[in-house]
This record gives sequence, structure tokens and C-alpha cells, in this order.
Amino acid sequence: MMTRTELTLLVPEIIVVAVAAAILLVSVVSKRDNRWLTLMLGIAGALAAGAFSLQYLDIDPTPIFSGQLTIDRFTVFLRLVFLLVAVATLVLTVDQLERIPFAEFAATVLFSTVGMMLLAGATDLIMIFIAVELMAIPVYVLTAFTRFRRISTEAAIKYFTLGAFATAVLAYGMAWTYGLTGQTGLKAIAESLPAIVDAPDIEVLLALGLVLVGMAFKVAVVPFHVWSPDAYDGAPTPVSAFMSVGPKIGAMAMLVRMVGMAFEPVSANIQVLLYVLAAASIIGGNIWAVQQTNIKRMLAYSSIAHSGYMLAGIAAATVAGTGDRPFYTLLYYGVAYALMNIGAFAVVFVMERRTDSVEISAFRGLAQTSWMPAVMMTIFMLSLLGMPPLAGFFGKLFIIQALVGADLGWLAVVLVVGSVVSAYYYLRVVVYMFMRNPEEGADAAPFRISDSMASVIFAAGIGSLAVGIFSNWLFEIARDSVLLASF
Amino acid sequence: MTDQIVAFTYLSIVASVAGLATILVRSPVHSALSLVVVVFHVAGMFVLLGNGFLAAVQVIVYAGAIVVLFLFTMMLLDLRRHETERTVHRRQIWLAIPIAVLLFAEVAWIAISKPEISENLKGAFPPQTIDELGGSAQALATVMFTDYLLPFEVASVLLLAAAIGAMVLARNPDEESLASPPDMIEDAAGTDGSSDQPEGELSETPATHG
Repeated sequence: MMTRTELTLLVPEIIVVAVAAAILLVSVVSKRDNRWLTLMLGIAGALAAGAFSLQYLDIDPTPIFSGQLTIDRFTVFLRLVFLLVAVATLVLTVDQLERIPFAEFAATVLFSTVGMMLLAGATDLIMIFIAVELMAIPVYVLTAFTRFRRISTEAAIKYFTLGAFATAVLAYGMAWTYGLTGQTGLKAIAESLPAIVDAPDIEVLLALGLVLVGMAFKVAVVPFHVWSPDAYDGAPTPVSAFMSVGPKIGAMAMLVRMVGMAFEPVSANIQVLLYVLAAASIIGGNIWAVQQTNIKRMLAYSSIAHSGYMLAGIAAATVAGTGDRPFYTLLYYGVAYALMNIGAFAVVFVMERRTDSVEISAFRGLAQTSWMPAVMMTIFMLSLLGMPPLAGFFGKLFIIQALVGADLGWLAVVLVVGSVVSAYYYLRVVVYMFMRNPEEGADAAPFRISDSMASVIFAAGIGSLAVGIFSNWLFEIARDSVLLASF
Repeated sequence: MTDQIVAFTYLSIVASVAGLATILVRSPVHSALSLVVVVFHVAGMFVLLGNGFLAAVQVIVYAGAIVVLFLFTMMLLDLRRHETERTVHRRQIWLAIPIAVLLFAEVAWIAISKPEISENLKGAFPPQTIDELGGSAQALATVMFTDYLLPFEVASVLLLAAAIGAMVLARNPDEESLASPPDMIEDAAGTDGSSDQPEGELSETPATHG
């Protein structure tokens, strides 16, 4: 039965839903798209929800609503990450994309954020399913928000169709899991699985495999990635930033709960599948990224490679005797990835507004005209590549340590080789910015970037540096988040 | 018992034939009407299984709402033009048939060779528990409003988000430019004059570099 304590623990999500509804109401009452008011409401809501979450940072794992959600530090940590991602997306869009209705945009972003926040804590198949949908459906809509561009509509249709297909596969896998165990709670599933499984049983493999394939679609892992370059390319760039980070980390969090809680007794059965998916993503993502001339598509393939790195972390967790270490390296990696990827897309957005082009060649000689975005883009590219002392370096380092600790040296080698290949396409952007002259006839005058865009870029850049330099500090928080969690 | 077998035989034969008709008939309207027949007969099977509530939901939601929605969509989109769709989707058949066979084999395999799985499917609500609670509707309500209260509530947020998304996507673009601030109307008028379909990248502001 519902109690006051349970409701109190759910306050952050309630606040975000209420703010989304308030934004919609205000836009109806004021008749006019008052963008700054909407933004202020959104930020205030995110701050309040974040402050409420922080109060429960040291909470013992508390299952609420009959175990539908578990509030632990893992949940709190990820809630904060998702709120940050949402705020960055709203700030990036507020004075851009004049033709879209911003109130609806903000509300849709916030609804998706609620889905992610719930997904971070969901410990029941039903809750997980609803949260995944609440996370995904608004993102399909966001992709189509600039539907006066044909490419945007096309991207949304592709994303929606494949996303719905993935949902069906996921639901099918969940149905198998329920059919085998008669349980929907992750803990209860873990308790009843050993009684059913004696060997690598084909039913368990099928249930796990279908759930994994469904999630592989959502996080865009090779070979389930085909939608993602088109979706990232066609979506408005702030939305590309949002969907390359939020749903990806959300789905990874769900996978951590599934592998760490429900399927722990049988996780050895899916090891091989995880290895193959991770290695294929790292190799495929990096090789395809090299061939791109459109920077949004390049970042899409790069984020496929990063999904592979994160999946390698989850694969390490399935090896017996590794403990929880791989999980907290993943949390650290999630924060690092969020900062550098949002930053990179923000700079791409600036260039798109400036030159109407998302080709990498548009970055030629950027350092000569405007040094600020060039320097910031360099930070993001080097961080994505994994240069010390930036966030991306420590993210990869921690995952490699976890892989070596799990006796998966070969996967660590794949990861390193993949990173070496990625140097080509990340550094190409830097070379274009600093060592090439602007194209003939291009506007060479320095240009002003709007304050809101600049603040997102600066915050992400400083964040990428700080998370790298103070990596121990964040790593310890991430470690405690996992150690205090319920798996 | 024999009554039940007779009823089940009738329901399953008609449901199967109507199901085949749904995918084989040429006209989409006939296809949708066959689907109504399928839905009604599946509802009858739920009654046979002693679950009147699911039968009612099946009729109200599927026959009442979803098929009517299908028919409305067909009417509004005038789908008669697309009656030759099957020739367009010829290649999918080679993928669809093996998958259908595979799924059927899977269900048959579970039903025949793995009785212990079907036992598990009864879960926390075997028939006697449902009887104690006073029927399937009560049992469903008890679960939905206690253990699964949160997903039930979150589903309403999901529906709200989807409704808003549908409205944003379905709204007439001209209304959007009217709803935006006055200075934007001028811009929109400017681009509307130059081209009917502004498909270029972010072409809401006229490109005036250099």
C-alpha cells in the first residue's frame, strides 16, 4: 500500500511532471510562446527535483510501491545526470529554432526525462517497460519537431518504426521471463531462476537474448544501430544531443539492473552475446565513423562506439568474481560521456546556425575566425578520443581496468585499437579547425554566439576538464553509488 | 464438458478463418471487419476460460475503439487506392512466413512439451485465488491498484506525453507561425514567398551571409 514515505521518495519525478504540465498550461494561458519563462520554469523544476534527490543521497536501498521502484544512490546519481541533460537541452534550444513551439518542446523533453529517472530506479518488469516507453516516445516526437524539414520527418519515422519494433522484442523477452518465473520483480526473478535453470537452458537464453536485443536497439549497438545515424542527422541538433545521451544512459542503467539483479544467477549464459555486441560496436562504430563527412553522422557512429565501450563494462560485470567494480566505472563513464557529447553537439549546433552546414569541412579555419568554439570543440574531441587529463580518458581507463580485472584482456585490446582508429576522425576536426584556411568565399568575420549556447558549451567544456582532473572524487561517488545500491 | 469443446471448436475455427481473411482479403475495409470477427471470437474464448472481464475489455477496446479507429483512418486517407499493396510488399513475405512458422512452432512447443511452464504461468493468481477475491475483475483491480499502482499512474503520464506529441506533429504549420511572436510572422512570410516548402537546413531565417 502507498504510504507517505513512498510518495516522499517519488517527489523529484512528481515535480518534473508537474512542471511539464505547468509549462503547457502557461503556454495556453499566455497565448504566446514565452520561451524564457518556459525555460525558467524548467530550470526551477529541475533544481527543485535535484535538491530533493540530493537529500536522499545516503539512503539505504528502499523498495517503494511494492518493489516497482528502488530508491538507492544509483537512482539518485542518475536522476541528477538526467536532469542536467534535460536542462542543457532546453538552454541550448531556448533562443534557437524559432519555428518550433518551445513550450511543447520543453514539456516533451521533461516527460522523456521523467521516463529516464523512473527507469534508473525501476526494479520490476512492468515498471521498466512503462519507463522505457515514457523515455522513448517523447524522443520520437522531438526528432520530428522541425517537421518543416523533410529530413527531420524521415528520421522520426525511421526512429519510431525501429523503436516500436525494439519495444515489441523487449516486451516479448519480458513475457518469456515472466512465463519462466511467474514473477515480474527483478529480485523475485533472481530468486526463482536457479530453481529453473540447471544448464544453459534454451528458454532462459531466449528470454535474456530477446531483452538484450530490445535494449541493444535502444542504445544503438551494432548490428542494431542502423536507425541511429539517420535519426541523429535528421533530428534538430539539440535533440541529437539529448537523445545521444539521455536514452542511452537510461537504457544502460536498465541493463545494469537487469544483469546485476534479475539475471545475476544466469549472467554467465549471456556473456558471449555481450562480448560479441560490445566488440562489434567498437569495431563497427569506429570504422564507419572514419568514412563520414557529415559531422552529425560522424558523432552518431562515434556514439555507437561509445555504446560498445559501455557494453564492454557490462560484459565485465558478468564475469564471476569481478564484484561491482564494472558497474561504477559505467556510472563514471556515463557522466563523462554526457558532458563531452552534449558539448560536441552544442558546437555543431553553433556551426549549423552559422553556416547552414553540418559537413566537417564547415569547420575549416574556425580557429582563425572564432577561437572560443574551436578551443571548446578541441576539448570535446580530445575527451571523446580519450586524452588525459580529460573526462573521456579516465572513463576509458576505468573500463579497461575493469576488463583486465575480469580477465577480458582481448576485449580491452579491441577497445584500445578502436580508440586508436577513432583518433583519425576526432583529430581530423581539430586539424580542420586549426591547420586549414577557411574556404574561399566563406564569411571570415568573427561571429557572436548567443549567451545561452555559449553557457552550455562552457559548462560542458569545464565539466569535461573537471571530471577528468578530479576523476578520483567523482569515481568515489560513483563507487559508493553502486556499493550503496541494491545489487 | 462437451458443450465447452463444441463451443471452443466453433470459436477457434471461425477465429482462424477470420484471421486468415484479415490478411488475405483485398479491400482494407473488409480486412478490418474480419478483424472484428476475430476479436469477438477471441472474446468468446475468454468467456470459456471463465474470464468475463477480459472478454468485455476485448470487445470494448479492440472491437469498439481500435477497429473503429482503423476504419476512420481508412476513410480519411482513402486507402482504396492502395489495394495493390501486396505487390509492393512481395519481398517481405519471404521473411514473414518463416517468422510466423517459427512463432507458431514455439507456442506449440510450449503448450505440448513443457507443461511445467504453463503451470508457472498461473503465477500469483491460480483459479482458486481469483474465486476467493470474487472474480477476475476484482482480482485484476486488486493487483492494479496495489502492487502495480505506480506503473498504472505513470501510464497516464505516458499517454499525456503521447497526446501532446501527436498534437504538435499534427498541427497545421501555418497556425504555428501565427502563434509565434509578431517578428517571426514577418520572417515566415518572407520564406513563404520564396518557396512553398522550406526544406533547407533551418531555413526559418533568410540566409544573408556576406
